[in-house]
Amino acid sequence: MMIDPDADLVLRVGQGDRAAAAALMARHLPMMLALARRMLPDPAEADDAVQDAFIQLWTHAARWEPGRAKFSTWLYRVTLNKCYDRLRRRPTARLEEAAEVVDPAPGPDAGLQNAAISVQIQAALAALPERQRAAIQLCHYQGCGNIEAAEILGISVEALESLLARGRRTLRARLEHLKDA
Amino acid sequence: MDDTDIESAQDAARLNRLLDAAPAPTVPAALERRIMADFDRVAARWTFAKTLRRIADAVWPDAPVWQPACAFALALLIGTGVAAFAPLDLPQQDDAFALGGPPDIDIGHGI
Repeated sequence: MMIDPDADLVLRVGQGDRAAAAALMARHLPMMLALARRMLPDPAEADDAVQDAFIQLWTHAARWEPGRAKFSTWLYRVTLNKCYDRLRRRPTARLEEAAEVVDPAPGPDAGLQNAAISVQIQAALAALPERQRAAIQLCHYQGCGNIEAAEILGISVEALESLLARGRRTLRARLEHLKDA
Repeated sequence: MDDTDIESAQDAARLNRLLDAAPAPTVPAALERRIMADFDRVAARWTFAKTLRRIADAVWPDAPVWQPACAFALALLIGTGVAAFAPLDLPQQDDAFALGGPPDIDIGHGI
């Protein structure tokens, strides 16, 4: 049987252990935030989506049943669903805002050109359809395998591969002018 | 074009490099604080349930909560039933006599 590296922490969180909650948050928050920030154009909204996902975790931790699903898979799915909820509430503003995505952390020593490239990449990602964006986010940035990513998205592996291929093709076309960068 | 057409290894590597150029966001400390504050709020709501669990553990260690809860409910039901349908036949005390005047006790004043 698969051993879930988070199972012990989730169990302790369910018993009200604050240190376990902090450890679980430290382990998953950066990836969840990266996922939400790339799914939602507004960073503040992405932060809210991640916070909502954690509230769901704190509320349900006591009822978590180890062995039914990998914890991180469940957590990323909750995060994605929170992002989808927010995208559904504001369907018309997304594309316009996608072009205005600002690099949240360019780093003080990053060159202007790198920052500009980063902004263009993020804009290209933000302009992808949400399912393609999620697939690329999970497989490229979160390092999920195809099976896990498909499970998080609730689709078949074939459908995931199709989403990835279409998303990557669109990105290649949109970022064609950066190929020498 | 087929959805799953194979991108060349060179194209894939180039796109991966570009995607890697988009930095991961830094986690704002304020967000961490908000999340832990939520945990504290949810944990505070658990207190009643946790107290019940502790009592149940003290009465009936390592049993699922429903067992001591059922035992308690059954005992309550039996107790209420007995009190309602089978009252004890206690002798009635004459309170009027007890409160009507000073006790009729000879403590030796008439000697």
